[in-house]
Amino acid sequence: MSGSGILLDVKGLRVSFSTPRGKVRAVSDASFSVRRGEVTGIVGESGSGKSVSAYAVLGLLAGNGRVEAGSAVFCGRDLLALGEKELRSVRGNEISMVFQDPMTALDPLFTVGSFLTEVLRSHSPQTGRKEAWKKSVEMLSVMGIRDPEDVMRRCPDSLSGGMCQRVMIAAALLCDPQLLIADEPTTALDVTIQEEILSLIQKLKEERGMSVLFITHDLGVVARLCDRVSVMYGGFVMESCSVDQVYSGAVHPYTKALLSAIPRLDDRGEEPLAALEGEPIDPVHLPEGCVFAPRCRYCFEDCLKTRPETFDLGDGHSAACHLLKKGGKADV
Amino acid sequence: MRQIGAILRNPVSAAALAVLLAIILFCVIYPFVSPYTYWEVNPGDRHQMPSAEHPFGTDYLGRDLLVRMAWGGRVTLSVAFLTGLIAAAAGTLAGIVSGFAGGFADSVIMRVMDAISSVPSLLLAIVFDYLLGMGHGNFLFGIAIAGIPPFARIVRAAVLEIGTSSYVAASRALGAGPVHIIKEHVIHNVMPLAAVQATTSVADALTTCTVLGYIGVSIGAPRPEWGLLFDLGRKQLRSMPHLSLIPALTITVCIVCLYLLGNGIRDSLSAEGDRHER
Repeated sequence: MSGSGILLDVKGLRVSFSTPRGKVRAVSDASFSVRRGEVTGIVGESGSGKSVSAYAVLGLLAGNGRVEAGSAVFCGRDLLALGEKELRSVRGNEISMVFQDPMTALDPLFTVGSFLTEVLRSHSPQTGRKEAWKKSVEMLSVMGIRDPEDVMRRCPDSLSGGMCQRVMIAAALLCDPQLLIADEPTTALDVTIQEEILSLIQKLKEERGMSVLFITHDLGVVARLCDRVSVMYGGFVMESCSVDQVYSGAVHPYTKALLSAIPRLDDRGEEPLAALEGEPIDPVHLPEGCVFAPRCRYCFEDCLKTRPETFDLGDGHSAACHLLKKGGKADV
Repeated sequence: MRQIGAILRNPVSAAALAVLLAIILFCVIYPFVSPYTYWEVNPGDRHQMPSAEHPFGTDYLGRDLLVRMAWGGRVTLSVAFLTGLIAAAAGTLAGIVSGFAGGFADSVIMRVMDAISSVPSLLLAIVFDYLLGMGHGNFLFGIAIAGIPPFARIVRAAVLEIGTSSYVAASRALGAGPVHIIKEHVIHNVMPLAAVQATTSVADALTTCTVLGYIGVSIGAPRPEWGLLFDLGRKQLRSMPHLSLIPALTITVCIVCLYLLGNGIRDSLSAEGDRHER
């Protein structure tokens, strides 16, 4: 791992929410990084802490959420140590975020044009109205919108989901941020539109050298788009590696379980699709040992007693599993 | 504003607005063109039935009812609209502060609102009139204060909802600060709700104002007020029913129009909301 190529380096992130039920450990120990010009995927099921990690990095946690430990170094600064005011100048300017449901992410009362020019002008107040309009139109055409002038005059309620997501991505990129955080940006869209949005992000990465932190639960999307991937479960990062390593040499039982749960086109349906037994963990009462142990096929004594440390397998590949201590990488 | 356009395209609310504007315009202009005044007593013209000279007839002192209705409307309607406005401004502010601050401040503000709404608005108005000096329209403050709690509740609920909406999260992620979010998203999205509530609030104030006039709490005789006119006419209800019916009907028409306008605003706004589904 070359240190200079890392744009965002999150280490040992721990986030909890205080709720009437007790303290919810949404993220217990998450470390991941985004390299310059690369797309890093965070994969995990619902409640695995993938979105919360991203929100925490930008200081966007809900009122009852708290970052308890960890660091998120971005361009030499620890974002988790910044105050709200400094963070505000990072958001939108240096790091932008797009969300899951584009239809509700736009205020229904404003036209696309007034929204985009407002974003631009509030970040750089010296921009004139006409200039802001021109830049916004340009950005919309970069997003592959055919009639940007017309879209600029429309309100979100007359736009399709895919169109709204393009507008959101345009807004996120207006101020030329170095990092785009995409929180399941295609989940609410149908598959053909999904594909268009993914190619758009791919294109932006290639043409603008943009770095992306891409949060998803879809391993297919990861294969399509990401360079590196971190797999999360129960608030822990289980395995981090390049996208090729996931499909060829994943070592963590959870990653393997996820992979085997993907239906394949060439599968004749003779065997039932593999499903992971058991329930996701309860974040209020985390088990003492490995969080995945209760559902793990390879679980043994140590797994129930102690949390596994993260083993560096070289070549940017790391995983947290007791099996690795036994040197049992191959037979997992 | 496209919202205003949508309200005017709704025939019912457009008609209600037209009737209200006609009544207001009449109250403003008629005293200037009428040959009569509200205070001039004409013993020779007592108890006249409606005629070309006196379209609404005259009262027991020979005063022209039409011009007195116009003067009365000035008082009643300005009290109603002014109190509605004060209640709207104060209630919206309280609601925004309450919804945003949360916690202790929220509890205090909302408990104060509960305390206010536990006192009947009539009583509040009479107390204010008594404390601040009677005969100068000081009951207005009582009506205004009584109108604050519903505004505060509606706005607070809306602020809580808007605060957790995706578009606010999205604009925070794009670097928007609290001032921008309140100014752009919260106020703009709360406005339509507040506008609907404002029509109800003005109608309520109108009712309270006329009831006060009816029981004798008014801006001071001989200045007329619709509730007072109704009370005066009531004494000749059998012989000259128009003296009480005209003020009563005018009050009713105004209140109905206000409610219709409020309904129209709400309908046209929800129509805006689901236009893309049609």
